[in-house]
Amino acid sequence: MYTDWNFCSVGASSSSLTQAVEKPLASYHEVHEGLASRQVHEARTGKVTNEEMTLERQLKQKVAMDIAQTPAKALAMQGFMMYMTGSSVSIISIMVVGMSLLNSAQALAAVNQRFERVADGHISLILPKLIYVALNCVFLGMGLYKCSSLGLLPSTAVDFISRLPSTAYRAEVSSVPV
Amino acid sequence: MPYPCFRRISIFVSFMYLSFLFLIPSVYALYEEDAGKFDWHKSLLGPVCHARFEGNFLLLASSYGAVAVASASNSDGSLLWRQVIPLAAPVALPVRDGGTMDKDEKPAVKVLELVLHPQKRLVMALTRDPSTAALGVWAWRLFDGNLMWHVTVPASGVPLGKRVKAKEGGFLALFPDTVGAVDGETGEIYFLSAVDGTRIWKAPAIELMAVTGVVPVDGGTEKGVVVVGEGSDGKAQAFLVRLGGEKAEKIKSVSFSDGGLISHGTPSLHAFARPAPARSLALLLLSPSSSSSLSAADMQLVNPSGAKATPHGVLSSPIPSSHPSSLSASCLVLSDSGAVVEITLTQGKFMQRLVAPPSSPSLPLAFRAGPYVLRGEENQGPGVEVFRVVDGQSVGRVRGRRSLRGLWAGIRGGWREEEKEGRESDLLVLTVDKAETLVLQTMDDRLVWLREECLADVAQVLIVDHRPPAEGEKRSGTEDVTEALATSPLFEKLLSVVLPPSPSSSSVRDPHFGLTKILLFLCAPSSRLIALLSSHGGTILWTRDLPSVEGREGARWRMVQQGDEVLLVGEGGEGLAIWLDIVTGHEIASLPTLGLTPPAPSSSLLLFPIASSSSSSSSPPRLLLVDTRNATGHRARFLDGSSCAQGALGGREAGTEESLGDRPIFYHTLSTPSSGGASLQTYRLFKPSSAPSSPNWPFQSAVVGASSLPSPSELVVSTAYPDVRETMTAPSSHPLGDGALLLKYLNPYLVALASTASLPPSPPPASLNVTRDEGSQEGRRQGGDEGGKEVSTLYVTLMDTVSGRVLYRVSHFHVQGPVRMRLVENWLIYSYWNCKAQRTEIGSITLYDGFIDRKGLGLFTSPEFKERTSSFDGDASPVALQQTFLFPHPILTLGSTLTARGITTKALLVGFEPGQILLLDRRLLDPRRPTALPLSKTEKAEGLLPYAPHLPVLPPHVVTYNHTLHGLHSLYTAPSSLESTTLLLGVGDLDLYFTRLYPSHKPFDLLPDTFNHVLVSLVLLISVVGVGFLGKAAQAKALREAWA
Repeated sequence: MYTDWNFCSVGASSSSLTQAVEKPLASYHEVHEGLASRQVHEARTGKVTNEEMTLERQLKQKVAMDIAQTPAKALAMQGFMMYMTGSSVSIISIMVVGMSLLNSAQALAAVNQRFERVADGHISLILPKLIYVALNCVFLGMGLYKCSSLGLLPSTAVDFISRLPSTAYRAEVSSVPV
Repeated sequence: MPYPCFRRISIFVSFMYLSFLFLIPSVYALYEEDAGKFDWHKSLLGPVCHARFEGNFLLLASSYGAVAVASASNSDGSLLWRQVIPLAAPVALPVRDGGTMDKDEKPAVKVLELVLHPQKRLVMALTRDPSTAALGVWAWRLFDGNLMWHVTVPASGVPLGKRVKAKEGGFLALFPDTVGAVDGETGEIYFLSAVDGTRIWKAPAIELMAVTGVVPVDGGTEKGVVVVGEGSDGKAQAFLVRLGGEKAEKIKSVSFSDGGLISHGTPSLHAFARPAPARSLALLLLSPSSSSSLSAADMQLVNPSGAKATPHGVLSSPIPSSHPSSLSASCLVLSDSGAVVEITLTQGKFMQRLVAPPSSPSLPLAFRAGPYVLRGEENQGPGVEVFRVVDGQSVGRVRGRRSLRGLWAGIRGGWREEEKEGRESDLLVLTVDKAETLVLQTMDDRLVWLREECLADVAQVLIVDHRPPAEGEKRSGTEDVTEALATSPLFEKLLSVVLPPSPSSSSVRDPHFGLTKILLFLCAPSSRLIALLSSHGGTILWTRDLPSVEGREGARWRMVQQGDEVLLVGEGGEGLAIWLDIVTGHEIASLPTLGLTPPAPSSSLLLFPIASSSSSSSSPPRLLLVDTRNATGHRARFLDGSSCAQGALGGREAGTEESLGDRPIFYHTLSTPSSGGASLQTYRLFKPSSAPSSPNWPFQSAVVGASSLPSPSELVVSTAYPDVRETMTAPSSHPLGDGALLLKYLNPYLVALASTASLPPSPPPASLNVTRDEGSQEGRRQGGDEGGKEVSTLYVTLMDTVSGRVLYRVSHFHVQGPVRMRLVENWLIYSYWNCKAQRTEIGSITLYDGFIDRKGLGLFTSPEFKERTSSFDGDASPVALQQTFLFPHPILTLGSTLTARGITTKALLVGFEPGQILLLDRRLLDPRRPTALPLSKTEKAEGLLPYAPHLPVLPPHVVTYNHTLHGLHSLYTAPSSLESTTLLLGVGDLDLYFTRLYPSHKPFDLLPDTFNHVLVSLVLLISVVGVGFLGKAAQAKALREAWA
């Protein structure tokens, strides 16, 4: 809950607010709270400066990049789990591979929702989204590679035996004597 | 409002549960525990030559060297025990196609006499071994058939000429603790201990050309035998041989004035006697004379004299009488006219009495059992007339089934002297007819049991699906077994859900899984067709005697399945074709003549089942008949089915161009003369432009290709053809461990020839693709070191029966037969005896057509190879891989498993000595088994096993368990509807064995035996009740809340 008196007590000095916001490594929550407070203030006062707009976009850009890089944090763990499950088809390996593929597919299907918080129409989310999609594709690729190593993917000639012509047909008719 | 919704759901679920419960009785399932319970084993005897009733036991001996004991009380005719007397020395036998031996030329130990030693309770048999001409005495325990002792008397040095004229026989004279064995050929007499068979004494030689009768004489402390025979002077002579005596005492020499002994051939002299008190003996000698008279001589020790008895024709079968009187002898004789006469000799006087009146036409067949005389006759159909000896009155008639060949009788429980007026119902009559059916009946014509001994002479076997008759479909003449399969009460099905299945209930389910088959046996010598049901322990479904009309004697019959019918083609005269219903055995149609060129030898008619054309693939196959005896070349015709026989001139399409179909039809002839060499000729069928000389034979043929073995001295010892159906359903490729593919060379029109030659190995012709395995190369080097000595060589040749090309040829050195072969898909297996290494070896050859890399075939990539659908395509021969393995036992026959869809891994069936069948995994015989260790990753992934020359014989894989199939020579397999299950029929000389097999060793489509029927049923029931109860509770709660 953000209250007026709390924000107004700080808003008496705008320079101090600017200094406080310009700290480069503010935590996400601090920045988010500051932005929210400022937006409330701006909404009440109706005054938004250009610096503030620029600062807000930079912050949103950083947040978008953070979101885009989220899959990378789980990449190593997922790879380690896949490695530990071995090359035999078992319930564990199937679960790991299945979760990997499912999570990747779900993430890819919900890219826009994932960036909805920072999508205000003023910043470009193409790069974060591409990074996000690429990282999830890596995730997906790892899952598919695991599937392939488990022999669950039709990748060799054995998997396409049905495309071979049938040997049941013979151009000649003959038989074995009785 | 969730509660009304829940209520509707609960009602729906309850309805579904109830629906499933209702459907359960109609859901059939086969349980794993059924496995092993449906195999059956039939022990056969072959043509019965001796039978003897001993109380409730029946001693039997056959001309195939089998001795058995059956119970007269069993209803199924099963044998209590059976022993087959083996030949002392192996005999080289000719091998029939497919590796089986020709039974007609197969020697067997001959049983000369079969008796029961009453004191020791031993079944004793006197035998002669044809391989060594030795006489043998065998003694088995009556109750369990354990061999107690066995004595072999080697053949003596009697000149051959003497032995030729002598009678081939022998006699056993029984004493309480001694057995006298008399060699009918040499006259040598041996006295053996009845306890352990040790030789007690050998009698001095008797100057007889042939022994025709032996009478034991037991005088208490003094024992001996009276031997009657034919002397060198042509006179009948009798000798008394005392146990421990220095020489044989000549009792009497009698010359028959009318006729002679030798001029009438042997056996011509018969002796019957009874020991009398005070060391007296009465002998009665009977001999046929040149005219229809009967000569007899009294050879009493006290008062010998001669007399003559008439008038009932030549003696056919003398029957010893059991009238006890001092110094007298009597016998019953059967004349040609069928009359039975009792002749009694007392104090030098002959008396004769008519026991049974003449019967015309009569059978030379009679037997005496206690107070009865039984005589076979055919006046009112085949039967046995029974007379009482005392008054000559007829007491009844036992109906026979066919013309009788043998007749024996006995009284149940044994006949005692004081029970001369025994009840007729206790009289058991055992008859064997000309079709070798052994029938045991009582006097009131009740069948005790029946045994089809002609099953020991099987020429051809077909395994066909059993089609259960539809509900309400009544088939006249069908056995009750078939009806029982079709109608099963509903409560039994319901009960089978809860209770473990019983064998009878499981057999009800069998037809739905294709596990019940009809086994058709074509018995060659008796021209008899017998249908057995594979379930119910091999119950006989029906039997049928094939016609043997004038001019068709000795006809060779062959059979082919055509849908629900079986077509039998008889070759003899102008030929004959009969269509029978497989389930009932009823004749559907027949063609009285095929128009063969008479006289037609047995090899003049070729039969080829031709698959139906592509337009009607579901129709049964047609039978192509090729007459090779026609003067103008081969001529051919089709037999489409029973409908064609009912129409005029063999069917609607017969003779038309359309009947040839849209693909050319080929056939071949394979000439394998016994003098050596072999040639294959292939022909193409066509319709001549001009009208054929015979409208029944509208097609002719032209030679397409021919091949012959390179050396004329090669003698073909075995041939093998693939199963066309098997090849058509086989997978076209073999996957490797890395995902690549080996393309199989699947050619259904192959023939494999195994030929032997005793010549130095010569380089093969350049036109032939010849490879040799390592062992063969080693053998060749060693053969070369022997300085050009001749070595026996085995050549295995694979040929195409359409183009006539030789596809592959391989040789093995130092090889002896017999060679067994089996051609399965692209896999050739053959066994032989390596006489140099002294071991049985199995050669394994697989043929491949090409190779596809692991990435060579994909969704968007296709391999570049030429599809070979024609035998004339492809200029290159298949790639052959070969390996040799060792087997620890002599191999009798080879077979392979067959499943419905060819998915289950193939397994080889090996019939090995002494009559067992082994299920051998195909991977063990894979020529690609790597010799280099350790195995690569791809080899491991493929499941290849490291090469080991010795093939294991694991007891769990011996499918015959503790059964031994004597003379095992053929293995027949048939698929069931379950992919995991193969049905196997093993056929031996004297045994039939049927069982189910799981080639992959895992019945993957069967419920396990641990399946908890009770728990599943309870869970289902509780779920239904629970859902219903919760639905009610939810409804009540919703009502309460509505009022609150």
